Amino acid sequence: MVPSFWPILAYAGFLVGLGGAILLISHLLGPRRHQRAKHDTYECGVAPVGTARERFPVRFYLVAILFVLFDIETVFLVPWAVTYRRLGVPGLIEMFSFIAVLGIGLYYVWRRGALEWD
Amino acid sequence: MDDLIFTAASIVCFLSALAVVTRKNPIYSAVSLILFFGGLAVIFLLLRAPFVAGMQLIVYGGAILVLFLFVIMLLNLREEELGKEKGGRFKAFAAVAAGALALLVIVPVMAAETARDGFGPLASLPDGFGSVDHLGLALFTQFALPFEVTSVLLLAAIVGSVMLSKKHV
Amino acid sequence: MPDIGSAELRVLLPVLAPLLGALAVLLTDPYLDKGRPKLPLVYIALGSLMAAWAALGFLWGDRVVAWSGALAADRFGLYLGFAIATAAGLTVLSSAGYARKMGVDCGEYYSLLLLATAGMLLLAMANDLLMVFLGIETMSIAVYCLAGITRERPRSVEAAMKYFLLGAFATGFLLYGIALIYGATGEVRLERIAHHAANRPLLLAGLGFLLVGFGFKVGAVPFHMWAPDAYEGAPAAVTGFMAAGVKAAGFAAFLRVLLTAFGGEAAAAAWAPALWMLAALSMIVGTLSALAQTNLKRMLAWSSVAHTGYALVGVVGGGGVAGNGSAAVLFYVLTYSVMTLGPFLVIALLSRAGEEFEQIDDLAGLARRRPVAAAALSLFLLSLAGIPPTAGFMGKLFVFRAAIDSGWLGLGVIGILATLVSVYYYLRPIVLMYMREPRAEFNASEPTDWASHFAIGVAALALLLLGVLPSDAIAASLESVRGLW
Repeated sequence: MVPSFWPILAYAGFLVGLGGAILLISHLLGPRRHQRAKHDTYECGVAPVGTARERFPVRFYLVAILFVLFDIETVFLVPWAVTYRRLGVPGLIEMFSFIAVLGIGLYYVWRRGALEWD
Repeated sequence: MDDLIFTAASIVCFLSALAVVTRKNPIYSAVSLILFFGGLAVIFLLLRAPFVAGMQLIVYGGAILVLFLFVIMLLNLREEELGKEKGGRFKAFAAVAAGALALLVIVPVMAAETARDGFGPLASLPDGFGSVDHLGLALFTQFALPFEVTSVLLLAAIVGSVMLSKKHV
Repeated sequence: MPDIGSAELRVLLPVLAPLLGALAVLLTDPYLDKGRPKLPLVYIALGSLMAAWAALGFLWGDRVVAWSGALAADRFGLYLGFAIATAAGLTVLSSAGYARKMGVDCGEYYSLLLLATAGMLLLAMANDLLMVFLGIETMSIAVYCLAGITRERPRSVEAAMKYFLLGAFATGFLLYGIALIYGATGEVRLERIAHHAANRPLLLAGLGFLLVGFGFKVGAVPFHMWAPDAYEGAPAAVTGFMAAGVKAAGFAAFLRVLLTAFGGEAAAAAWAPALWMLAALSMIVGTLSALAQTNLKRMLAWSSVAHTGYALVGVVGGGGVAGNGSAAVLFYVLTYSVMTLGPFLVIALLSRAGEEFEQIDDLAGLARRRPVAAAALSLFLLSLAGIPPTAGFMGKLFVFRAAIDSGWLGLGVIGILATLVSVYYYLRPIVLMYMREPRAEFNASEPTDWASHFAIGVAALALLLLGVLPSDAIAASLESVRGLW
């Protein structure tokens, strides 16, 4: 284990502990009054309509998958940003052509209307 | 200490992976998968790959899991559509297949371990191995072409996914 | 820092051509009139593929390795590169009419076709395992989507789904194999992996996973389950491209990995028996299953499984550097890619709006209504059956002789027996076309699809040329294999 990760581990442990403690304490101390209304779906005070298990339209999926694909593009930007001074002009050209290919992809997605919600 | 963390992370990975395949409700499977990615990220940290560990959490645990959840909700199978529990014979076959696959994976690794085969201990790695710095230099010099080709791969995926889910013009 | 100078760019030219073509298609498509034939896209696609052809010819010569060893422009990769670029070009020609009939005359179709071609060419020239993986994925993702492009036909979607799921599974095996090999050697470059002793468990396990992954991609039994459904469901022009291009690129990488990274005697002794089994099973299962088919595309799918077996015979009987087996595989895959593309071009030509022409019984009497199509289809089927003077005969002869010469008599005998049985199912459609009264109506009234006819003519001519005058192509294949070292 590289020592520099200790704070992260401690932080993660702290978060898990805190979350667990809050749940545990409210479970132990919280009052419990069971009523019919309490078992209803919470919908900002309005009476719930229909079921929550609606089928999602395919549009959500398209947005999600496009997000993932462009997300991976940004993942590659991080190691480049850290080293770009040492990479110099060739590194710039590499990243530029990478972004250009995906930029044309973005242009296509845009013109194709895949980002429109119709 | 490393061994302890590795064991803990492996147990988390193993149990959550088991939950992914045994839960009948796909939402539970997907949520178990998040836990699995978390355990995997810890193992990547132990292997001195902090960048990969971070990406494991951000891209897989975040973005790709959301995609999975969307797909599950897109299909939104109700109890009756999930079908009956598969028969004992099917389960037995699945267990045998999974066992065979596990053997295929475990045996060579164990054999390599006893033959002292392999890449060598982590301690022999150069300083800074796996850091974002190191990774960036390798990615943009030695592995420049694979990096560029990744953009073509992503482009094919973009065009394909739009084509499959949008109306043809 | 690799010098992004002339060698780097030069080696990349055959891949850049279809890639730039795909980008141009994506940029042009939004500006074209909707509802009118998208001919500019066809011209862009054809132009970029011809540029790829020219680039392959320009590079033909000594081995040039660039990009820190990731890509090798040598005759070995270029040889099948020609097959890939030709298959893509003929597919585009036949698609100009076919895509409109099936309602998929859109930018995505041509750009995915070109991106798949770029992936295939990368795969044929890949010289390290990372490039092999990226080439396979670029090619496969584009082809999965193409298989499902006719979304209104449930079988097309089913084909895409099955192909995708099993393909992703196979990629998992391939990637795990690459990981194990990297774990054992610390290398991804093929010629450096060869320096490591092969009798190590980790390396052998990696090789085993690689064989499974490649076995899926080239459709060898028992990893062929996706092939019949994917071939049947995908639109005909795409199926032809899949059968020709994916297989050519897959075999190029498969053979290169085996010969370069695992070409030593110890390693070859490990993979030869495994491939012996795959070859024998593919020939037997492919041939016997094809006998029972009533759907032409499905029959051709099983036939392609059998042909994978024939090509694997050459891989097993490679006989190392001195033997002719590996060259025989190159020649076989070249001829196979042309003769398997041909029937799909004919199916694409005969298909009507939104409806594929795929039942073998519908072929009855075709010779009277569409004599040219019937003659071309007969030629392709005769070549697939391996009847002289077609290229299929020369290919089989070359492969079986190489195997028997290097002592794999049993495999040669299985191959010859499978070929004899296969004559039955290749001849049946021909008999139907020429000896029966027409049952189905053929779309003779439509305007002649000249581009499609031209593509079929080129394929037929190529088969006859490769069958009658094979010496140049065979000599080139021998040089290609020697040029690997």
